[in-house]
Amino acid sequence: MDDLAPARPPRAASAGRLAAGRLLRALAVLLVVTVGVFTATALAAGDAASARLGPVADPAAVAALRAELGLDQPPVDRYLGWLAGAARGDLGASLISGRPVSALIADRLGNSVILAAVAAIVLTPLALLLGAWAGLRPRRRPDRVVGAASVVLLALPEFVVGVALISVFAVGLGWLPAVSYLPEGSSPLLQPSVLVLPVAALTLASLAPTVRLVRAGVSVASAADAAASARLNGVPEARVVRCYVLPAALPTALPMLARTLTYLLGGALVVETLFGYPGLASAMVEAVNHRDVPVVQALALLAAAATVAVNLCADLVARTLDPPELAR
Amino acid sequence: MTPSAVRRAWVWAPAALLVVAALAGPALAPGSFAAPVDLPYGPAGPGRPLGADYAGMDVFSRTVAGGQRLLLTAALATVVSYAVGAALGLLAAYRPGGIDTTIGGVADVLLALPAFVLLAVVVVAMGPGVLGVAAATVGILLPDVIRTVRAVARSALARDHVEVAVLRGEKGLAVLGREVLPYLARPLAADVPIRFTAAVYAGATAAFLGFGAPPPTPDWGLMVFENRAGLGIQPAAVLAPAACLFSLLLALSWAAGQVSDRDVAPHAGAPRDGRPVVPAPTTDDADGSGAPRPLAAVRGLELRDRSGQTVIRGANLTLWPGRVVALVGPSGCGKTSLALALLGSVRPGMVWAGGVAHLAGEPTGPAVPRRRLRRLRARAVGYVAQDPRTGLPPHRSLRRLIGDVLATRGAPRPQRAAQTVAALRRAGLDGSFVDRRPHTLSGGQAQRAAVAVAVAGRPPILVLDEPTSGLDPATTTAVLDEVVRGARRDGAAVLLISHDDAAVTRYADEVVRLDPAGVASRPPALSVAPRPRTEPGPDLPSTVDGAPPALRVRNLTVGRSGVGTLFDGLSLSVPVGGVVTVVGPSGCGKSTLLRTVAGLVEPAAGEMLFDGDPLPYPLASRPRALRRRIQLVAQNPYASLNPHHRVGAIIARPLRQFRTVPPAALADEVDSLLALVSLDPDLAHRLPAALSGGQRQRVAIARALACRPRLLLCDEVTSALDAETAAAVVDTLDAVRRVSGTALVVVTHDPAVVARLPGSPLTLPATSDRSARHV
Repeated sequence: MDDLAPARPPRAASAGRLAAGRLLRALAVLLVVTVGVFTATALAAGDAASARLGPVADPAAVAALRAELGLDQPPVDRYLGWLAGAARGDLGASLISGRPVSALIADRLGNSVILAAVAAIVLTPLALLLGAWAGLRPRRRPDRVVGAASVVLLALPEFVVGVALISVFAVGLGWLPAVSYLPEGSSPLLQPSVLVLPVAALTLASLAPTVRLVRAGVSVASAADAAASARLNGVPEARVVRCYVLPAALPTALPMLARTLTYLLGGALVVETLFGYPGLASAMVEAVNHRDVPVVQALALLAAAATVAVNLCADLVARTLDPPELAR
Repeated sequence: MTPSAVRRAWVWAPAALLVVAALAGPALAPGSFAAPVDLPYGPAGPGRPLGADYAGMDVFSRTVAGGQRLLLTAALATVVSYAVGAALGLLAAYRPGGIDTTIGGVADVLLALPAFVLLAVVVVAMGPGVLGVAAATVGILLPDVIRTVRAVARSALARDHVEVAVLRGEKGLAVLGREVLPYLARPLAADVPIRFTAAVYAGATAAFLGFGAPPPTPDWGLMVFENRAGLGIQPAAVLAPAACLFSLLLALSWAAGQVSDRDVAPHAGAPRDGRPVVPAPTTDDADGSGAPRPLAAVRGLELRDRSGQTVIRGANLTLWPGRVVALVGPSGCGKTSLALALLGSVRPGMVWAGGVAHLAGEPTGPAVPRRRLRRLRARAVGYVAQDPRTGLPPHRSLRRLIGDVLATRGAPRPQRAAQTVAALRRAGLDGSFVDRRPHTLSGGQAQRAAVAVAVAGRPPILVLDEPTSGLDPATTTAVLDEVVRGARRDGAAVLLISHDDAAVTRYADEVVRLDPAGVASRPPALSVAPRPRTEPGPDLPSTVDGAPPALRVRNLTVGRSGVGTLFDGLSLSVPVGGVVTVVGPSGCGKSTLLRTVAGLVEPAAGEMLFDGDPLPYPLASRPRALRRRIQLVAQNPYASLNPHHRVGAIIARPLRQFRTVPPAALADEVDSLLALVSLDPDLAHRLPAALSGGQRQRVAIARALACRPRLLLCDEVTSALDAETAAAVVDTLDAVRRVSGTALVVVTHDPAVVARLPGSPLTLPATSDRSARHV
């Protein structure tokens, strides 16, 4: 085979250019998401004024409210106004409570971040350990046990896991609260018991796909020629795993791990609702059920920004760990 | 149905049973499932085995009825996302550039919203209910479907048989339909159950969040949500629907897992054979006299694959200090497996069914604990894997790679730096390479780096699996000279696996030939004698009759992607029915020359005349008749035939496309083409997987000849074949040339191919030497 690709070490400049390109692409994706979210919620969803005043309202009152909310303006102007406001941090006011959305976010963001962070801190090492443990012993007992457990866990939606946890640990044993009630202004860190069940539900639901990813990456890397010939040259197994298998497995697993982490954001929607945890996600569900469009828009935008940022970081880290990817 | 098909179908039994029960649910429910029949959370009673729920409705009837809507929604979403996703994925793969980027952008945008947030936005837009949930589920599934289809289609499109079809002038839809679509069947069969499970999951969660159908519709997710406050009073109202959902998802994801596992490892279910007992450490050679003792040996080795088929039967191999043993045989006969068995390693998918092996006085084999094998290898073995591109981890510097083996071979730390450089020198690399990483090396350099890793610390046994396949003859000689000299000096044993007859004759003290599933025996000599030339070079039939040559290339210059030129001012002329062989070091542009003539690469300057007329670029501007007359036979016979089509269909396709023969005569024409390339016409009914490499290459040649080409471009057509097969394929090509008057351009790096064809070869210079060259 003719060896046409010039073999030369990747340049730092090309890595920088790549990062800049990724960042631009991420911003472009985010912009398209704002268009999509705005179109879906503000334009397609029907009229916010009649939604607020109810179906039997006086048409004149509805028209007045439409004018007050700026709904009578052309859609492009409304979108640009919303985008400009969002860029300044002004995300509008809730249609139901009339509170500014930014105040709601300020109230609840901390709680959601704590929940997601604790779940990620529990999930990541657990997934890496179990995945590597199974992946290094393909088709032997540890692999079979982990594989069977992950099939069962994969079949359990968050709310089923959550209900099972509540019925055992809250209703049955009475060890932990069934509802994660927090008094106004209190932090879940002051009452760690309210975190235990939500974190457990989130972790259990996300564990199986993550473990499978790590396991697949590790077992491929462990069976690859590089690790095999190191073993045939007598390199000790611990060193083969540390220096040959894991560096090859992690870059491929990382972007998918990031996807699982962003999935936690979506999973939080269910878990916060089930446990009545006062986070952003439960606010989102309430807003959807009341068709509170400004809140849904703002929270969807926030979730998209977080997702894009996490994916971007994972992508860049994976590429730094795996220089051959750069050459492609 | 065969037993395995029954077993395969059985996997789906639990899921199918639950799906049918859930679909029939509303009809099966014993009582009303939408009207109150009792007080809220009323106790169980006759006709109401699970009691009543928060609104006093019958829990049992609601649970039975609560799955139908969920399954229908999920099925609708799965079908729509496959229809849309497959179309977009195929389009993205087929049209790289703008369209691919746009479709990738659509997937990125959908992925930017976490699944349930996307669900929330769509529900706000479309209102709660089945349609909104189904639309959101499509949005959740779509990116993965697009990506799966695009990845499969792209890898199919990159295969040589697609390029051959495009060169032949097949239209886009025919290429996608005939060459790409068959590749999708298996991955999608494994993918559909996974996506359907995800759709059920998303639908159930949507119902739980209250985004689905409004109460009092019976729906498992909604029931869990409605009744969770009464978990302490009436647990069945929550646990019954949750259990139904869990069983359904478990059955689906278990079956999906079985299907995709089977794709990954076809032999997963086969039982393991009994392991052999550990042989005693001392062997029959322990007579203790002054005679040299073998360093390693295999006796009566028998390896089977998981289906029980014997791969190696009764193979013997002995390595002596200071001697080089060459292991030869046709490709696929188990040379690498035999070498690995000597080191106590059995490839995945193989079973050690009999025989003993020992290494440096200790037994090896699958029964020996891994740790002991590892210590034994650390002490005794240096190993070079076959493929340098995958045999070294890409990101570990050569200093560290060599340091790893020096440490295991017990080299004292202060000496390691010097020994590292010494090992690199023995492999023909200088000390400046210590800090390079394998991914920055060329294929040849990586191969030499792998040799350096193996020889570092001077192990007493060296196992070299095709150590020079990527090197040109001069470098091969330099590397092997140094390695073999060092081994003889240290009294090390060398096992050399090679296709390279010249290297085998030059270095081997002993040649062991391995036949497919046969006994390794020692032939008296190994050589493929060049056939006496029937036509000496200068007497080629050329332009004597005044007709223009089939191909004339004048002052052709082709740029290299990036900077510089690959070759500059190249000229050559191929007479009608004549042959030109092109040789040169790897990377000099031999293949590019063929691809330029074929219309796949843009020439920077110069002219190409075919039968006196200029050859236009790009390919699309060449008329069909012209495309038919220039055919390319690709390098790799394993990629140049579509594995999903039978041999007869592969050869008949160009016949149909150009309507060269009437439909009634198709079968006869296929038979005669097969006979022309010395293949049995019965092979027409086989799939390519049932053919050997040499047979495949002949089928590829027959397919090219079916177009009745004037010019046949052969790109390294023998590189994947062993020496005997290669010689036969070259003879076939030469015979075809003489019988049908097709002109040949043969690119090769193998001197044996050059020797079997008339004329003297055109040698392309290495790319560093970019001077103009005229022939």
